[in-house]
Amino acid sequence: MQARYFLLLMILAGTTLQAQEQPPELHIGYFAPFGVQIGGSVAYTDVLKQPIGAHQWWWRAQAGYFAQPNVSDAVFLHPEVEYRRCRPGQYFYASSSIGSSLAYTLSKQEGTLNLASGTIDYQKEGSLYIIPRISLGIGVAPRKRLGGYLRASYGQQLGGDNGRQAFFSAAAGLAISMHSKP
Amino acid sequence: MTRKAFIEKALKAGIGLPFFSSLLLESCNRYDLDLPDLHGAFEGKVIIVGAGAAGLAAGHLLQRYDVDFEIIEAAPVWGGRMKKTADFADFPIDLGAEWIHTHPAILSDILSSPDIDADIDIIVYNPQTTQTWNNGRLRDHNYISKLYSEWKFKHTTWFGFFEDYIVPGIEDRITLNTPVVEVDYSMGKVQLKTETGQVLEADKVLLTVPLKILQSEHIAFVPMLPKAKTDAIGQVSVGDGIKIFVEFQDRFYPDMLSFGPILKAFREEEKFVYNAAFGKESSRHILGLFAINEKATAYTQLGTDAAIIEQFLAELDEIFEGQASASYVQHVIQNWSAEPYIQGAYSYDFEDRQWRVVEAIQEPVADRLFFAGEALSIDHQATVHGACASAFDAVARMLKES
Repeated sequence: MQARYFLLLMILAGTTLQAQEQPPELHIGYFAPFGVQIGGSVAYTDVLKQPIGAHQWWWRAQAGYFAQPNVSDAVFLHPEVEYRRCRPGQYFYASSSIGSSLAYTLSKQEGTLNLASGTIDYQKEGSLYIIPRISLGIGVAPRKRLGGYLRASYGQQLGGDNGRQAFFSAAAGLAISMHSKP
Repeated sequence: MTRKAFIEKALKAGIGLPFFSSLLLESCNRYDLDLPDLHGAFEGKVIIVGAGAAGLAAGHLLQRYDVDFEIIEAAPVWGGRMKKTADFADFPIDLGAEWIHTHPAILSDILSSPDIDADIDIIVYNPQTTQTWNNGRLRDHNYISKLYSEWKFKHTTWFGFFEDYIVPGIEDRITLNTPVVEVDYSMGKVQLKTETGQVLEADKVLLTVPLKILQSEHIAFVPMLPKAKTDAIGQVSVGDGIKIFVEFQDRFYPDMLSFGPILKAFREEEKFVYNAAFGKESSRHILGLFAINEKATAYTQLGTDAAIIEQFLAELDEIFEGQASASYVQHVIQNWSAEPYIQGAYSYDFEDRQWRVVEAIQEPVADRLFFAGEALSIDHQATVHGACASAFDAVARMLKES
């Protein structure tokens, strides 16, 4: 069920329905799950549907990394669809998006400390999670080349041995226009 | 500013995340405990009062510097607030200090002996299931696993670590069952009078007894300690402390259970129930209770172990719908407030700024009396490694100023 949901979003996010007038954007930024974990992400963002007035629809394919220091490292893929409200001719927008991450986490469970050197040899365990999440954010579309974004997400981490866990994150970064405007 | 003060200020300002940041940062930062760089030789004798973590660490260091020393302990066992039971479960249980509250490399720093080429197994203590019990409701907060982690010993305990690596080198210098009742530093040498009337003499004395012992004036000083110091000692709050371990037939509890709203529960850190077998190689279901201050007093005031376990099981039954009593096998209670030479948990709060209070207590008296202990580590108060750091610092002062 979770895998089917994820595949559906992948297909949805990977399909551009209309010819595009706005150039795609490359998003590069800081990604901080739970406000305290550290990470980064890069995303390709493109128009999903022709804008209608202030209403815009985009899709995004994101890849990233985050870590809980001394505990785990994770990589993730995150396709999502995004709605932006942006007045024609303006660059500032508010957005909401929905998507699902596929995350692989390598966790340190235990280790062996050498008392002479103070070094620890950790044993690690991998886990696969699906994290459907919704995001709210604001951003500035690239006027010429550079814009920016700020997003907060909430979701549920599914999979692993311990059932559902709430997942929230914050992200901020640069939006780089992938084509120069004529 | 203490971590507790920082969290409180952050919360008052409506900022929740710094609390979690502080938890995270505290656990992930590596804290280096460097051996004091000592110059010159000290020829005299040192007596360390108290064979807890600070006293033992100081002894370990003095041994290394080839200083003549003796450790005097009031209780019939060394360890202070480190204590273990090896026969309750299929793994040793810490009845006192349990968690490694900083990077485990601190263990290597405490030993500072490159010739001890041994390995020690540790657990990344990252509880996966967390619940709160608040207003009669049990709620899941499993996301806490993403915010909090520390370390624990896998096959041993804090007591076991000292037992294996520190005490063997200094065991012949430890005298147990010798409560000191008077410290006379009015003359050139310091004279210690014990409860049995024995008089011991040293050039310098390092007092590592729990602050509660100094507060209760268990030890008389001649002349009296300076007022600034006694005032500072009185400004540290040390409440009750209790740990209970219960074995159950079945596992019905999460890795961690806190009481009250999630932010308040973790901010105060005064009472929680936890899976004591987390990460251990164990087939047993062992639940632990950690409680300090008023949360501990609720149990310690009951007087008897029978009343305490009855109260605790009743609480668990209310939370877990009767499963505790139905599944109960055995228990062990460690009431730290009832230990005559401990009398409580650990330093918790400071009436004045912590650094000011700590500096006043740390300040040597007449270049002959020195002080160390968990309460006197500004950055790592209430921890074993903080006690060791404080001992290292006191030894450095003692030998530098000689």
